[in-house]
Amino acid sequence: MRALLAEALEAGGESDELLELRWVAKSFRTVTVTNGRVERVSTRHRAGVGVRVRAGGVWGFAATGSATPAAIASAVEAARRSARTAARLRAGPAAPLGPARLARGDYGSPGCDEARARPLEALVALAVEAEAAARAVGSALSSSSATVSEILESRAVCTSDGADAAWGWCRPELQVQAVRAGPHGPVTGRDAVGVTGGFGALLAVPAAERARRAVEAALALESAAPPEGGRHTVILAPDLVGLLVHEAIGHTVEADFVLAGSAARGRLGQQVASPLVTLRDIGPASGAGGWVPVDDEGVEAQDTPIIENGVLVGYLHNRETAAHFGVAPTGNARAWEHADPPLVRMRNTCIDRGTADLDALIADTPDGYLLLGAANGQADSTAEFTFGVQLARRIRHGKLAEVVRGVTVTGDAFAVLGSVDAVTDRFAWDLGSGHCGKGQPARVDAGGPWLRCTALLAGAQEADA
Amino acid sequence: MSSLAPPLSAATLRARCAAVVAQARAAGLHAEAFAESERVAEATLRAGELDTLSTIDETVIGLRVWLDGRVGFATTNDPDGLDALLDAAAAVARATPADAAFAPPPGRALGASAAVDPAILALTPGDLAAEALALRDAVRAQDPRVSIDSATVTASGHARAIVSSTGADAAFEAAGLGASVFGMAIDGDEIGSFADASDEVRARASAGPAFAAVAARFVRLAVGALGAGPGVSFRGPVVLHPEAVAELILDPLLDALRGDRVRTGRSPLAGRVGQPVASPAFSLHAVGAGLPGFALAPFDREGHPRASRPLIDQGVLRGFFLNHTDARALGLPPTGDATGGASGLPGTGPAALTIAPGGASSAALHAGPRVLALTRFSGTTDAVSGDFSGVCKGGFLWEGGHARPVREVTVAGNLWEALHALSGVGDALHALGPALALPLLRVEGLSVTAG
Repeated sequence: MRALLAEALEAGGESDELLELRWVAKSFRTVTVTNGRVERVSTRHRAGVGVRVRAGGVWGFAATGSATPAAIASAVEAARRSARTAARLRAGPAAPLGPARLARGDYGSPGCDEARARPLEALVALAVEAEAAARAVGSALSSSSATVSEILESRAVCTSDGADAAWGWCRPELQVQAVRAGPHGPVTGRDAVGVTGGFGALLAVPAAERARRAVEAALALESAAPPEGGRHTVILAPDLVGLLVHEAIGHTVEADFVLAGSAARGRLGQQVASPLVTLRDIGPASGAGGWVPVDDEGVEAQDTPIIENGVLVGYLHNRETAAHFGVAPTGNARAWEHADPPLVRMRNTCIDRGTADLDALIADTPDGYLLLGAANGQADSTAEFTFGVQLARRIRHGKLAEVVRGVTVTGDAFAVLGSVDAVTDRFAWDLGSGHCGKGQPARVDAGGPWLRCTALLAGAQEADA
Repeated sequence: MSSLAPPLSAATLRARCAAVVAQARAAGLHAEAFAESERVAEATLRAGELDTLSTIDETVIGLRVWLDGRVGFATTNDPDGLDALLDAAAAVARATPADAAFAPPPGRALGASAAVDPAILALTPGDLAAEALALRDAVRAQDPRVSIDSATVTASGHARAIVSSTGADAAFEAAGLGASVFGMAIDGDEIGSFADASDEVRARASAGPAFAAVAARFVRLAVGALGAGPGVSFRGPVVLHPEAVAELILDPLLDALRGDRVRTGRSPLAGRVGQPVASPAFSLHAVGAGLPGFALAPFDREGHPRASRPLIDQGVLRGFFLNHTDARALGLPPTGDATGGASGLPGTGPAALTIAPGGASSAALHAGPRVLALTRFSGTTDAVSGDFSGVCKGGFLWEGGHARPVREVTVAGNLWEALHALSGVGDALHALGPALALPLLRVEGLSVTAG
């Protein structure tokens, strides 16, 4: 594909305008098994070329699902017309794009060869095995399901200022869900994993073990009560640390949000978190679900520091925002498919490990909650974040006590990170499956060690007297 | 040709669908082909400035085949690759165990219909850029404190068609013109919560008032979040504004009404048709043809006619969203609620919805010694248990008829209990986009926690 794009680039003619051609081919395979029945099996293939032209600080974009030279040339012309039209209408100034570490060559494709050789029957068999394992563990499930999905992807980017790169990946996922009709109503337990690579990485924890975890979560939640609403000491598991850094900080430091006025604007160099917190967003994080070696503008993806020892040191950039801030692009421009223009997105976001021991940390917590299992999350311009927790354990006098359900955590991101007083020595990428939404999906990962902080829990209140 | 006419017309899509279905029949398979073709032009503003003008062409064909009790599905965006598509769908069927639940839906010939305003198809990217800049200026004129993170104006020409070996044969063409704004308000050092508003129209002439309403709603939401102070913890009444009704009530409720949830033991509403599931003040209706001014395709993802009907009528559950597979498993007729496009298997859900308005004025709903007005909800709801908890965004605390904005306030409760605890339904309907019209709802007994 690099040759086809290079040819189209040359056919695009000489111009001062930046021309960017991006080929994306995606094959999706999904299998869902519910209550012992193979419920849904589907395959989807989508491929095409996205074209951007930059003129006068504005982009023209066009996309075609046909990868013929004629179709690409037509898209180039459409993008060029749009860019020139937009340039005439734009009133505000735009900084010219600055230098970037543009990618050239083949950047690998973890898991792709294995996936191409894997028959669909193997995905069906894995989903059947995982769902059956859930039913084998839970004798009284009202529903159980397992979904195995796989995205096999090839990408190439060529730009008129020198990027010429190809890469790919396979991103398999496994999700198991178990529903029990508990004495106080139905409850759901879940477990999920998503990686970049092959089934070896996906099944580092066997499917049967994932099924057992889902069923045991449902069992534990059956008799659980909601938490007491209010501000509490909490110890977050690595997946929740991942959700915290993704929702609370990551979105806030996406430079396009910063330009619009996010809570991180103007705070570079300031102490925004506890000195125990060092936070980064890594493109080529081996095995992580959001592994990206090159971004969709053809920039080599960096290991990007965001917070160092509590001090805000950087934002996440595409080429345009980097030019605005006078820094090098960080390789955070990502597009979901060929018909999506690149946006500033996270890749794999984490807090570095510390030195504390988890057991000692629990023993050192007189009153609080141990929070386990990420559900959904949302960010806000104010730095106020929200995320759901699958299961929580109350900590009383340094010991784990009753299970708590329906926990939602919120707070001001910087205040919560400022309250961090312990970071453990264990680290995991653990955001599981799922995607971040910002107009278009993006597969991301996040993680970190266990950490202790203070946050607000939504919960029950007594009725007014 | 109009500039935004879809790359393939509905007639061409029907012909392609018919061809691949005939090919499948020749190979001994039953088949259903669903195709969509679209040209979309969009002007995007970022940080208040024109950023991108785009034009995207896309044609997608999805093929479902049945073979000896097995079903397979494949989809492609290469409209010339129908041989490969048939092979891929058949391969999926062969990899799937036979199951008596899988059978091709009976089809009907519904013919062709359209909702096309040529004035929309004639719009150019430059026209859309001018519309987007006008939208920005309308927002800023209402309040200079708003900051637009992104705004778009989008025009599209769309065609879809379905043909099946069991008789489905229908096509639809439409044009749409939409606008969206996303951002917040900033006042000195204070940053308000994210706000967004959007709408889409079928007629060029309707865009002016619709986009003005989008701008007004965005400004109201963005600016309303400024100046917030600490809240108060209590258990008591909460008034859900339309965005919060959609997020907190409708999202999990619609999930529980889906046929696949019902038949697989993941809906607490299973087996409760004819029983009260909400206050008698609550009625929820599916509007098959679409809300006034925004016509929808008269057929669903399986070619079944869409219909208007009550889902919950005065608190009593009347039915579910059923596609053919769900209906067959439950021994009921399909309801014309198969959702989705050519890129995936049919799901289930509403095309357009409304909650019936009640008789309470806004002042009456907010009356009382202490009431939280929940403008937007950001949190988690478990559609199975009904447990929800999350943060109130841009909310107000009403005390004795006076309102003040509050921040860092959470709300928790249970959806199934909340539906019975409705104590008031607003007398006005508020449109949230082209397919949703909702009143305010007052719910008693929710837990409100202030940080």
